[in-house]
Amino acid sequence: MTNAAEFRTCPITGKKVFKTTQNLMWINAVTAVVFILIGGIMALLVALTRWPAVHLLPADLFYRFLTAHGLNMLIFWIVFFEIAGLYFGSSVLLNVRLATPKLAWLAYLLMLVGAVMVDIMVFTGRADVMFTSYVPLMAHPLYYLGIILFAVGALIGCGIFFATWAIARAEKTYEGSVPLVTFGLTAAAIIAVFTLSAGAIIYIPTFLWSLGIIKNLDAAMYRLIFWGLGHSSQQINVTAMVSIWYLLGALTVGAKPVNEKICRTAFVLYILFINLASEHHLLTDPTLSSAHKIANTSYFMYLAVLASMIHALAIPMALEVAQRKNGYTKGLFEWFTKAPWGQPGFPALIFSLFIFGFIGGITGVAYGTEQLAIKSHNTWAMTGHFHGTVVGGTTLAFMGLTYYVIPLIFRRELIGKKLATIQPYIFGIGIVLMSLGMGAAGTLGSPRRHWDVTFAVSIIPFSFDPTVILFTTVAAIGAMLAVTGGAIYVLVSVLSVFFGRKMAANEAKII
Amino acid sequence: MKKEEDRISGWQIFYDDLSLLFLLGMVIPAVIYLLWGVMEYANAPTAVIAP
Amino acid sequence: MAEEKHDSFPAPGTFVIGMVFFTLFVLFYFLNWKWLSMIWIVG
Repeated sequence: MTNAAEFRTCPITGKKVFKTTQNLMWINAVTAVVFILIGGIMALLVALTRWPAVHLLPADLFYRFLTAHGLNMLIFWIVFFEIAGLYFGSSVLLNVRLATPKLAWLAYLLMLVGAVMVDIMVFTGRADVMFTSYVPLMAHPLYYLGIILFAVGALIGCGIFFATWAIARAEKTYEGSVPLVTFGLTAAAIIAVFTLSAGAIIYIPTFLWSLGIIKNLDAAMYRLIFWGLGHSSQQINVTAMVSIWYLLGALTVGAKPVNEKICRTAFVLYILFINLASEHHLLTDPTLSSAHKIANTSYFMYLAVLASMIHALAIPMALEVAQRKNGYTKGLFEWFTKAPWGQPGFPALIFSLFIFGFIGGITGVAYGTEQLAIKSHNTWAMTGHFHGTVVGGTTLAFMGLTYYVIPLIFRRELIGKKLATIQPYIFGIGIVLMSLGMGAAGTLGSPRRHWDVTFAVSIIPFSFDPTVILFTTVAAIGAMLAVTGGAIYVLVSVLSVFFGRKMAANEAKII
Repeated sequence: MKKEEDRISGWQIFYDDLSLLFLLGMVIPAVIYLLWGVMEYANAPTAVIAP
Repeated sequence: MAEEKHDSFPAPGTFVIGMVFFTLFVLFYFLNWKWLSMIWIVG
């Protein structure tokens, strides 16, 4: 049994890394990688089905595996990784032991049991309801129970983060305000509590409905409250991703924000307003007034968009200032061209930043406009948007961070450093092609969540303009590249964590 | 000069107050998104299917 | 937290990237409004 007070001192940062924290980070991060593997296999199969030239799966398996892909990626991979991140942001960065490690293990077990239950229900065909599980589509009760257990576990993890923060404050293990990365993760944890509370409000009645205890659930009301969970969970990802950007900037080029006050203000704007973006899922729904739609998505949400603009400029600015201090002052972009592109962290950071901002961000803010939503709703353009944000943005940032967490926290040397270095390029280029292909096809009308856009076996025949098929093929090729990049990530991570050379206690090597 | 460095700004006090940030982060979306939305749905007239 | 003090704008490259981003944003908004107007005739 690990002594809760047992720690080692990081030879690079001088921070205390408690054994309990390290173990809990390890188990959550390794589990995250298992789920990205499942989600990635599903991605391959779904992409090969949407690719008209291949059209691999039959219809029922397409929708089943699409459900599995959504859940394993959007929820299980990302949240397990974020819980590891929360423990890092509190215990390691604040130099304090983790509060209630036993409860943290219980949280992990609840999340694992919940996730496994959900996957079993989905793969055995008892929950072909897609990630959104909109009523009146009904899944097996154990599907809903699995999600509830997972959410409770994640909520406990957030609680442990706050408790650790409180202990650090009481024991004065840090001076002044918490570090910016911890502050960003705090914002993510606060958003997470709202998210999971909305999840409880909607999934508990839905669970009871699946058992026949509640007779009717209003579909419109379900959508309203579901998206309080569904989109807010993506905002946790955004906030965590931005925190990781600051961390990666510091790790790769020694970047520090030019004005930290503004960066913290941006995180506070996230806390206050980012959850209001959930309304954009309801823009084409009847009944809700334009006032509700516009107030949420076109007024308050723009304050969160302002926050994203702040981060989008603050981070490159910090990188540029650091690089110019490092001596790269020639012209406008020497700081950029002479950056450490040969290390995995920097390309992961840059790809993540640019894909999230240029592709995910621009499309998201535009499509979230009350009037423009009607044109993009339920088209593949939506899918292009959120693969830009959550895959090109959040997932790629997490991948880049993994290559530092393995040597710094898990004290294993990376196996396959060359692979780790090219992985962000392969994944990033794949996601760019995929998102742009999806966006273009969707703009021309190609639907999302659709098994066959050639309508070959439809009773009412329809054919899109051939350019839709062209862009669909571009998206599929991008998906193949992205899946390859994902597979390399899983390979390097698993090999390194289990078989990487154990680093000596005083070995001050990063990559 | 020493006095200026020691003075903590009101904004920093606000940003360091986890409980207040938490409360606002819960209340604002709960009211503006959830509660307002629920009220609109609850007050919507029920459709009548013509015979 | 000690902050950087600069005589001139410290990140001219980032400024250019920001302007490119802003231009693309405006362009994307314009295109989407235009396409909407083409498929949804009002009046």
